[in-house]
Amino acid sequence: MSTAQRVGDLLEHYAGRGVFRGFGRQVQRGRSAEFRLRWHRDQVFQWVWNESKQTLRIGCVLPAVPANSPMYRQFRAWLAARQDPALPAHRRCDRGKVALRTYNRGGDVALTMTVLDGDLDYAVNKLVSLVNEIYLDFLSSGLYFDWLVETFELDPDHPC
Amino acid sequence: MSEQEQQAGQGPVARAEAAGTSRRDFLRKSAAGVGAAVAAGASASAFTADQVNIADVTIPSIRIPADFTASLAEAPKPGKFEGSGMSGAEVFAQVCVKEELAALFCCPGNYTVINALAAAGIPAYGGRMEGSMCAMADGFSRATGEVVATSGTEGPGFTNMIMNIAAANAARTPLLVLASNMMIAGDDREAFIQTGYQQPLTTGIRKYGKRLIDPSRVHEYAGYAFRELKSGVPGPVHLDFPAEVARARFKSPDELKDYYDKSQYRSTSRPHPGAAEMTRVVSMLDKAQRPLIVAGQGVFQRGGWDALMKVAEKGDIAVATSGPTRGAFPDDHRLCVMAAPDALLSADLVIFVGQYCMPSPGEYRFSPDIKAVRVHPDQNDLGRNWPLDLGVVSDEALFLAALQDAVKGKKRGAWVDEIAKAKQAYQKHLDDTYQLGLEYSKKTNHLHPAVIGHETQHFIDTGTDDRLAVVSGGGGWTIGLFSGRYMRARRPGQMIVPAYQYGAIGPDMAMMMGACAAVQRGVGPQQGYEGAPTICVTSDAGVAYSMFELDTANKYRLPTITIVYNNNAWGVWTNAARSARSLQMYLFQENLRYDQMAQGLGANGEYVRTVDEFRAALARAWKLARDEKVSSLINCQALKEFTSPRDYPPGIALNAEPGVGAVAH
Repeated sequence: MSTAQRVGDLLEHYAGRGVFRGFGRQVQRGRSAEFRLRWHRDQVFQWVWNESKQTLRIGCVLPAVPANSPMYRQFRAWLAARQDPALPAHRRCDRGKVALRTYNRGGDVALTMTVLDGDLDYAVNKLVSLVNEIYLDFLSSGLYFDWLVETFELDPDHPC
Repeated sequence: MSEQEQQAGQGPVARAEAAGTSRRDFLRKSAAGVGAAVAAGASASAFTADQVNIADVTIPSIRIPADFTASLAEAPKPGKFEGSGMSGAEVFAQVCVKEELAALFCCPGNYTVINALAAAGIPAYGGRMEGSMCAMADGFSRATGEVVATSGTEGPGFTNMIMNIAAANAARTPLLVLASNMMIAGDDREAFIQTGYQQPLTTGIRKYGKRLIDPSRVHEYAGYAFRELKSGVPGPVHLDFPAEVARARFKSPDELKDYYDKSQYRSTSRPHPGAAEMTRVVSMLDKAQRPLIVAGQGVFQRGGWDALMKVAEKGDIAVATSGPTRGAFPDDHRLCVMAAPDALLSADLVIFVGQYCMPSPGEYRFSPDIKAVRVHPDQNDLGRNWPLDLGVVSDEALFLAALQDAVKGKKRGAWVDEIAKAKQAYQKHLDDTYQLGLEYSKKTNHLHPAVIGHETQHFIDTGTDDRLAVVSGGGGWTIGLFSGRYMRARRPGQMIVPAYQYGAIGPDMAMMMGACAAVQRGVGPQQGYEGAPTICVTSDAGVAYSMFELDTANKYRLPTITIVYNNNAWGVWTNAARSARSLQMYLFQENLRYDQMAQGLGANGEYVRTVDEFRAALARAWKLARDEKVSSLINCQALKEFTSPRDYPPGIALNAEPGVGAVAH
């Protein structure tokens, strides 16, 4: 089984459990494969697996976050804390197994996870958990309530 | 007290202290004065006199009429077949008595039926608005799990109840909605007034509904109603009584169809979990490192809390409660994760027990890898919204009793430690927010919602005779979200969540009055707490819907304390912050005096803007409620801008679900 196939199968498993509301495998190009997931806030997240670089990349995990904003700084700090050795293993992104990087392009926050030890299952599961926690934990602060309203046009009666 | 005095810190407590009177003495004397006036027959609004002199015009004080007191003291007089016979309404009332209908909350209208119920001995409460009385009935049931009735007149009264019938439906409250519907003979003729077809209006917000047509079937449909109310997943049952049915007369049981005893028209049999399913549940629990039980409303309504505790402690299984009633598992238990949101994300197995209103993945703060078991009395709901690894058809209490025997004793030290750390972290967050709130309150001379929430729970814990006795709850948008984080439930039925799922702003004050009625009578889990006041934390938006029921609370001597977060606006005003022309639609007049309105309704009114004033007002209100059964309303003046994370960080935030402050599922 190719690594692209494996990533797809792992993600499809989550879709089959109702974690994603929609899932699709896109055209595979060379050693890259693209997947589209409908998930938090009814957004479509584009995941790209690059076998050569051993990276899983989400092009926009958070939209409309200016690079010079306190929110982006706080996001980077929160992301770093996810790799804190003090966290229990089931909540931590092990620095020995994966590396996390974030970029900001015109307000779109991209997230890349590099697989360091070839353990693809670990990386996919951790990245799914990480994105889940971005929406359920990082964004739960009142500091971002206005941002949520503005970015997702939230109706306060239907904020989820 | 004038606003100028408030601003200068020259309120009654400050004046007393300046005069050399201690705060404690002042409060004692103040409350004693109120008590004396009430005991003498005056209401709390006229604390020191039977008459009030305003601008040289003497007007009588507010008081409870002697006719009211005499009527309450009347002995039950149920109908009987002998003599002139029983009316259809009396036949129905007879079934209600046999089914131990816990209470009726109504406004006049549907006269034949409500009079028959009261005469039959059903505890009956009459109030000012049908919608509020419906909410009171719902609150009574949320605090007890009992079947409760509400009633309104044909058209306007019934339609006034709609919002709160829907709220009861979302909460799966066993609410019996009764309403008269004129005469069948007047159908389609718009005869006189109030003609309307009721049943289509409750479609979608009830479990069962029926317009009674055939008078001889009134007993049969009474049985139908209670079968629905007391079987499976509860929900509102709506019966409307045309006059031909309510007023029909019966001189013998043989004139009634299906005149059976309740043991024949419904069964108390409940589904037990299958042996193979229990084996799988035990196996999944055994493999799980961080298991969690979400105990929904079904656990409360089926009285499964003792078994829940034993299961949790036997296996070191974390517990969160959900639903419109809180406390089936104590918030301060070492395994409770209601105030440990970070631990929720670590759970690797969840067992939903009696979770009637199911979230979808992503709505609960769970890991994407969590395995899910759901226990529910109806097979046809298993798998709805949340994909399952195992579905179990079972009564909630029977499942927990079976699991108590079957589950292996296991110590999960790492999981227990993680829960404890998550609790500490959340408590620190709450304490930090409270400290910020204190700073904001001092700086602005207005009360921050975190201060109100913290101080209210602190008062319950330290300023009352028995912190377990106080039933609390509330609503509103801003204050609902804030106070939910600070308020705690430590026994079954100690908190109700008025806004649960339907999200209605407004019924909370009336719901808490209904809960108060249950506490005063010691119904169900409220037994042993008779006489304790209840506390409602609500908003200036919400109070408008229920406030007139202060008259009802005082009339029935229901000791309620309502804390109003008065921020001069609908809490969702921020949604118009970027739409200048829209903002006006979200704003009220500023500095409205809900306390003075409360006084006008015979209650004690308090106006506060500082934490010291709030603490003193709570103490006075408590003493009045406990000793004199007089209700109070504390108007906490606030600023709408407290919800802004830019002006007053951290601003407003939604609460983690499941958990303290959860309202959706």
